[in-house]
Amino acid sequence: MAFWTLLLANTRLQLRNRSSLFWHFAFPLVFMVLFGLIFGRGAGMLNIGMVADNSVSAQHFQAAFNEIEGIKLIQGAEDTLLEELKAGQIHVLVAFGTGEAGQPVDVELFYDQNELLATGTARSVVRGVLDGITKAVFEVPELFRLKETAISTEELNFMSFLLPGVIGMSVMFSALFGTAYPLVTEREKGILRRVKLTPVKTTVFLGAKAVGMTVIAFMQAAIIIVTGISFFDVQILGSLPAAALVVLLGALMMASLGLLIAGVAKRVESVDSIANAIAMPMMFLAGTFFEIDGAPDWLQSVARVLPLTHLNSALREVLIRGQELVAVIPELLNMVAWSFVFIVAAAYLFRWESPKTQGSNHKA
Amino acid sequence: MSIIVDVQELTKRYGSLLAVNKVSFAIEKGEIFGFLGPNGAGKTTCLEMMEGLRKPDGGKVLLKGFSVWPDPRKVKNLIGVQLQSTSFYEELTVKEILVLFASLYGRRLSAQQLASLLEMAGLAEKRNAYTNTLSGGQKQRLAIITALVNEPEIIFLDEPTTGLDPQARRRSWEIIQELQGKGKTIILTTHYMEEAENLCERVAIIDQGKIVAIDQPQKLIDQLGQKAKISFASSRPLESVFLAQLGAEAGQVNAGDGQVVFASDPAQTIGMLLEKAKQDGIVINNLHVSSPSLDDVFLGLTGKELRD
Repeated sequence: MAFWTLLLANTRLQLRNRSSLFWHFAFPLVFMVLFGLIFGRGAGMLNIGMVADNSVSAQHFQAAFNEIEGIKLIQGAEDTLLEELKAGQIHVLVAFGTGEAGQPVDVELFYDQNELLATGTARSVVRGVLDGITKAVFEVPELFRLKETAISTEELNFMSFLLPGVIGMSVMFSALFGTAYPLVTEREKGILRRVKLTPVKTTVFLGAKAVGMTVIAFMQAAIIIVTGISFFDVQILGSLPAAALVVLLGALMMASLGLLIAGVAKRVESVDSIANAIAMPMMFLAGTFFEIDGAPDWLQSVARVLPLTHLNSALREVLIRGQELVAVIPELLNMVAWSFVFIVAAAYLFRWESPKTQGSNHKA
Repeated sequence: MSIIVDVQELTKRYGSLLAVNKVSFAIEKGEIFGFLGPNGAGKTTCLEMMEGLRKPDGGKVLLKGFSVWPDPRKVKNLIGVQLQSTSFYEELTVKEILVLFASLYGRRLSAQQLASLLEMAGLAEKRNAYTNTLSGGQKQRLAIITALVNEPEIIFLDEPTTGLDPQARRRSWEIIQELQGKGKTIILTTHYMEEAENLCERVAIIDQGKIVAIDQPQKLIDQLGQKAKISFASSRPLESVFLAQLGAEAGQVNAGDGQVVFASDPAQTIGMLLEKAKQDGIVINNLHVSSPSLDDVFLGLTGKELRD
């Protein structure tokens, strides 16, 4: 009972404080918008590749596209075009097979699954054109048998790459500051001493603080995902419940680190410096905005074990690459392990009273 | 009446400083007991050792027969505490604070309990106000009723009226008296003489970690006997030798800029004083003769004024 009341109170405190509202919710959106403006790709011309071919089908196909505005048909060798597809220069690639007499012609279509908006449009166009040829020219029910193959390219669309990073970063900052800052403030103001007089267990009191941050983290993730989908054409391929589990573990991990920071920080002012000293380098090293392939090996090794790296990478796999939870078990286990380390250390360092009220101050 | 609070040789040291020095006293059930002393006298330290917040270096605290130390958990449900510097979660409402603290005791406040607490503190209209919008007096009263959510038998109030205007102070006194009427035992600290005289049945005067006197306020005043209090200011400091001559029975203490002398024969003492002043060309101002109060008891016992 105390737990739920504390959880409710903590959530209310976070949501009623203007500055924490800004940092939890507006700040991540500002990031998204700025990055979107800088790197987001506008919807330009659609490029459709066609493997050069002299067949009747190919000629009809080519003729049909001459009449469609805004679409450029590029012909070439299959290998070259596949490379161009992977490089993002063309959106879909069509290859006509040789049809036997009386049988439909096989048509292969390759597309980049990470560029779903553009390729989706291109695929519909291709389907429409094929239907049109079938009905208008040959007057048979099925001329082409379309087989579509998704190609996973190395490079994600930048906003899709960025979105899980923005979630990871926001959860990190909010959970670190959202636990450490109030806890140290409450200690300085003597609220913790008052709480200490009640029979509530330390684990329940601190647990409610950490779990409170998962509530905020869910709200953040939801807002960021909705914004990404609505304004930046980000495609969410994975399951949301799986992503929710990742966010939950990530928020608990960061909140535990926040509790640890509260134990180390003697005063409110030191929370800022300690938390920022931890969060800022981690934000850049953990692949939030860009991969750090170019960094020296030792730095990459450091980056690989960071708490935020596991959170970002699990979110990216699940949300954008559409992986099952099974695929990110190592990341999840790493997050659980970090949480455990942070909680044990935080419990060891936790103090109900500021150093100044604990001993030296004997004043009445 | 039965003893509900029993403190024996309670001691706390901070380094070389003896903050509380073998303090012993007992309080009866239903009593309002006051600790009176200047800042730094050891009042709060003493109270916090009784509440289980500070571990004593020696001695015992028994609340209703339970020893607070080494395990204060046993008395947590028995006591209610208002700490000296009261602050709350600023973005919670009065009602939310009460519900939260009740839940920390594993209790759920009924609508009736909530209403009666709010009414007692005069905060019924403020129930949905954020605590940072409350006045100083309202905050102090909220702190007092927050100490009541677990229906404690013993209530500790550390400077419940410090910094309040006289009207707000009287409002708090009413609450404390109402609690006494409900059979609660109340232990408070104060550095307001008026508060101790008006509210407390017994006071312990504490100075430098020691209880220097403990009794009913009026009895403490009576101990000064029939002496009159003569206070005055002089244009130049008077020689201590002369002040000692002012009367064999007169006790002399420095009180800030002024001088205070207790005399059994005020007329004679004043005569001597004025004659001496005339001889030495000293101007005497603000000469007052009055009957002593608890303030003077304190001054007489400790040589200090209560307020800085």
